[in-house]
Formats: sequence, structure tokens, C-alpha cells
Amino acid sequence: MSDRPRIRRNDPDRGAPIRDWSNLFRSSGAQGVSAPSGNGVAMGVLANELAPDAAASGPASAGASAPLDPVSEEARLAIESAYRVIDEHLQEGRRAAQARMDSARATASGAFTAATIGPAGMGIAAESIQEIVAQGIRFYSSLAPLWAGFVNSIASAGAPNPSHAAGPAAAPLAPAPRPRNAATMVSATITVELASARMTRVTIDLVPYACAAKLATSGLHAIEPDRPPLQDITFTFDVSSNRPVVRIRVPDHQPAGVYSGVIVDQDSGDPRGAMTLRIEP
Amino acid sequence: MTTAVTSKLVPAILNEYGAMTRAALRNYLPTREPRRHLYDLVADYPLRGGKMMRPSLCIAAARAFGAGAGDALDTAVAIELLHNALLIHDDIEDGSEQRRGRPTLHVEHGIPLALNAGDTLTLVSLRPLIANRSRLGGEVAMKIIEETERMALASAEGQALELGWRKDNVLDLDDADYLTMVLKKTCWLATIFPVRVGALIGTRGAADLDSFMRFGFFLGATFQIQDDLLNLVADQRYGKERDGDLWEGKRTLMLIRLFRESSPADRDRLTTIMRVDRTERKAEDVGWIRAQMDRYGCIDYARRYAHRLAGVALHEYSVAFSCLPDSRDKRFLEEIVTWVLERN
Repeated sequence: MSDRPRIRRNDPDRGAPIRDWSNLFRSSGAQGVSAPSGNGVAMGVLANELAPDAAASGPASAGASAPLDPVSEEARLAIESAYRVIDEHLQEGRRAAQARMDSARATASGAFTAATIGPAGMGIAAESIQEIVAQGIRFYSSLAPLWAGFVNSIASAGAPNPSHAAGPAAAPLAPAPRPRNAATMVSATITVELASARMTRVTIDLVPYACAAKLATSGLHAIEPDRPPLQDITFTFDVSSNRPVVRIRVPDHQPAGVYSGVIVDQDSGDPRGAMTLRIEP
Repeated sequence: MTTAVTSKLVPAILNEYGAMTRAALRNYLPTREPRRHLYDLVADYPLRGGKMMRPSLCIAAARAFGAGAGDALDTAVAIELLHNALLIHDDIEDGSEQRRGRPTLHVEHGIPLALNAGDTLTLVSLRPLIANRSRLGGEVAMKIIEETERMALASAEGQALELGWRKDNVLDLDDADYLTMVLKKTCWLATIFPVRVGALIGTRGAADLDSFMRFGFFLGATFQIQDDLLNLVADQRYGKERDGDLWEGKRTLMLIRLFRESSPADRDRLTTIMRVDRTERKAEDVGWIRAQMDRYGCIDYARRYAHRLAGVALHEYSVAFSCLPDSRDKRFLEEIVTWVLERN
């Protein structure tokens, strides 16, 4: 052993990790500012530093922590300002869309009033009523997918939302944030034309945006190998209704039972959904 | 994580979709008489080239959502035609002298003929939107026309904002004022509209478009700030007049920052210089403004600002497109964010 005196260091100021959520996205010093270099840009660092959630939570949380350095403060102000501009613009757009819808409703309501007054308006009335009925049918048929989505959302409402459990900032009674993933907002709609002498139930599950692809299926098969597959199934696209149409013909001699198969993108072969037919005896 | 991001994909797709759009665009340019005083002028800007970023964004967004390139081609053509129509008018309104490395249309042919050509090009851009009906169906075609109307009004409002600031010599602006102007004047046509209509086409009208609005805004604002920076620091490849924005008195982020940071004496001098028309502005005054921008760190400030917005654009990209499977077009939409910062 050496005779040299043992070197002793002072105890560090900090004896445990700093768990301050307000600093989660904040860079230290100018690290994240990353002025452009000849070889490229440190975008990963930038994206982390500038996560808008962090920017949005900035003013509320800044008071509890150490003051920001000027560059971080500059970044926060820049991004807050930019989000404020676009969010106000989005609000304006929604108000304009709402005003347009209200105006369209008022017009429809005016047409109905005209249809119900006096014999002088009877010629117009007949046309208006036809138009109102047609509008009604269009309105309710376009509502159908919304109802399906609504029922699904009600059914899944009991499931915990992982985003709410993620951090301490998520208040249990806070209103759920509006989903911003485009895929979750869209239901795929398809028209079914079925020719069958017997009661037949059709179920089709499609992935979001499947209707944009050219769809096809290689046939629907029963689990029992002796039953012939259903092959007379064709997909087309109806331009007037702007949605795909599937035509299914069930032969009279087809054995009763459950038949299922995969719906694919005709160009890429990638699966886009599944179809099931239940033919009653 | 630090990533070197000099994209090869972005130039490749811009070339590919740009060539596709340019070829289709020729079919819509009238070749009949009167050519000398109208249709030759109408075809001038569209055939000068350009980056073709707008039509490429539209085609890529549509393809990323599963549509074919052909489904988005007419819309891409309409976007490019309308963009060029507005450029003719902008060049007149701004008194610009160069466009894509050549004299502007009104410098070559005079304001009356250029103005008429711009109006005609706006009308020509409607035809491909009408042609959408046969391929996409009436409903989607109508939605695209409605989006076009919204975009065109936003562009006009943005241009009016900036022209008004110049007319009234307004300099006491903040960054949010600038971003509002850029959102309307640049982002709608350059990025928001192409991505939104691309998504509309790809989803047959089913997409929720708000996410694309945010992505388009942050991408477009990054693009515009970088464009303003290039105007001050770029070389000959840039294709526009060096320091042209200072000559024209454009309210850029750098100019707004300069006014905000200047001493009272410098502020007075800047106000006086900006009060006069371009024709009366002196080279030494423009040189003084440029030097002041360096002195007050305005160029670096704008550069940092653009990088920050690019970071947010990447975040919004991940929100808007995370639902889609990986594809070349999806990668293009991501890589173009950094490409707009690196272009020269």
C-alpha cells in the first residue's frame, strides 16, 4: 500500500436525481439551438428541444424552476407565438365552416316553409319537397358511418386511455384531448350488393383509408374443406357515390355456413381487411 | 440523436414529380392565337422551371395515402399554374426585377400585358380542377375546388397585409404579425393546400385536415424564412435579385427584428429609408440596412427561428402521418422539412 494520503472529495450538492417535469424537454444551454452547419442540421436535437407540448406548458411551469437562459426563452417564445397563430387560424376556419353550415340549414328550412304555404306555391312545393327528401336521405346515409364511429367510441369509453396515465400533469377530470391522429378519425365506407336466395349476413372490416385502394379478394372459404368457396365476388368503384362497391352472388346450391376471406389491395397485395358471410340454412 | 440529413430522396422526387407535372401542364397551356401578346406570356413562367415543390407535395401526400400519382396529377397541375399566375401579379406588386434567373414578365413586356397574362393563367388553372371530376368523382372534385377557393382568398389576404404594411410604412411589428402574414401569403399555397388536397385525394375525401394544416404551416414558414435569408446571402443560383427584399421594403423576420432591436436613432433612419418608394431608395441605404442586420444579429436570429420551426414541423409530421405505412412518399414528406433549410 502507498503511504500517500488518501484523496477525499467533498460530498456532491445533489444526492438524488432531479425529477422536475418542467425541465423534461428543456435543453441545457445552446446545445439544441444548432445553427446550420455545412453538413446538415441536428434535427433530432431540435425536435426534442422544441416539442410543442413543452412549449405549451412553458409559461405555467417556468415560475417553479430556475429562469431560462435567453436562447431557450427565445425558442419558447418563438414556438408559442407560432402555435398561437396557427391555432387562431384553425379556429377562424371552424367558425367559417359552422357559419356556412348554419346558412345551408337556414336555406333548407326556408325551402320547407315555402313548400307549406298557399296553393300558389304548389308547383315549387313539390320540387322542394322532393329535394328535401333527397337531402334527408343523403344526410342520414352520410350520418351512418358517424353513428358507427359513435357507437364504437361509446363501447371503448371504459378502456383506460394510456396518454392520460403517462404523466403527473394529466388531471383525472380534465376533458379528453381531441384525437389528432388522422387515421383514428376515418371510417372506411363500402356499398354491398348481395344476391342471395337465402338469409345472408355480411360483415366487412376494413382498415382506415382502405377505400382509396383498388380492392380484391381471392374468395371466401368455409372452415370445412368439403364446402366449395364463394368466388363470385367483385369490387368496383362507384364514382357517383364516391365509394367502393362489392357485389356478392351466393349460388342457390351453396351449403349454409360461415365463409370468410381477406380483402387485399389489388396493386400491392397488402391486406386491407376481412369479409365474412353467414349463410342461413 | 443527431442526424445528417442531406436528402437524396427529396431532389429525386422533385425531379420525378416535377417532370410529370410539367408534361401534363403543357396540355393545359393554350397554343392558339393570339400568341405574341397573350399565350406566349401565359406559358412563360410555367416553362421557366422552378423547384416544383408544390405539385410534388400534392402528389406525394396523395400517394402516401394510397392513391396513384395519376389521381393527383390534375390537381398538381392546377397548383403549379395558379402559383405562376400569382407570381406574375406578385412581381408587379413588389416591383421585382428577376424571376428564376431572368427578367420578370412585366419588365420584359410591360405591366398591362403581364397583368393580362396573369389573369389568363389564373383562369387556365381552373380547367384541371374541373377535369378532376371524371377521375375523382364530383364530391371530391368539389371539395378540392372549395379548398382552392379558401387558399386563394388566404393568399390574397396575406398579400394585402404585407402591401398594407408597406403602404403605411408599418415597421413596429412582432413575430406573430409576421407569421400571420406568412401563413396566409405563403403557407397556404406553398405547403398547406398541396398537402391537404393530396390527403383528400388519397382518402377520397375522408381525411381530417387539421393536422395537415399545422404541418403545412410550420413547413411553409420554415421555407419562407429560409427564402428571405437566401435573398440576403445567396449566390447566383438563387435566381432572384440579391437584397431584392430590402429594395422592395418587404417585411421579413430580419427587418422586423432589426426595427425592434435598433437604437432610437437607427430606428428613425430605418423608418425614413423605408418611407420612400423602391425607385427612390439608394444603394447606400440598402447597404446600411444590410450591415445593421449583421450588427444586431438579425440574420442569426432568423436562422435560429427557421430551425426551430423546422423542429416543430417534424413533430407535426409525426402527428399527421403516423397512421400511414412507411413509403417513399411518406419519407419525402419528412425529409423535405430539412431540405428547405439546406437548399440554396
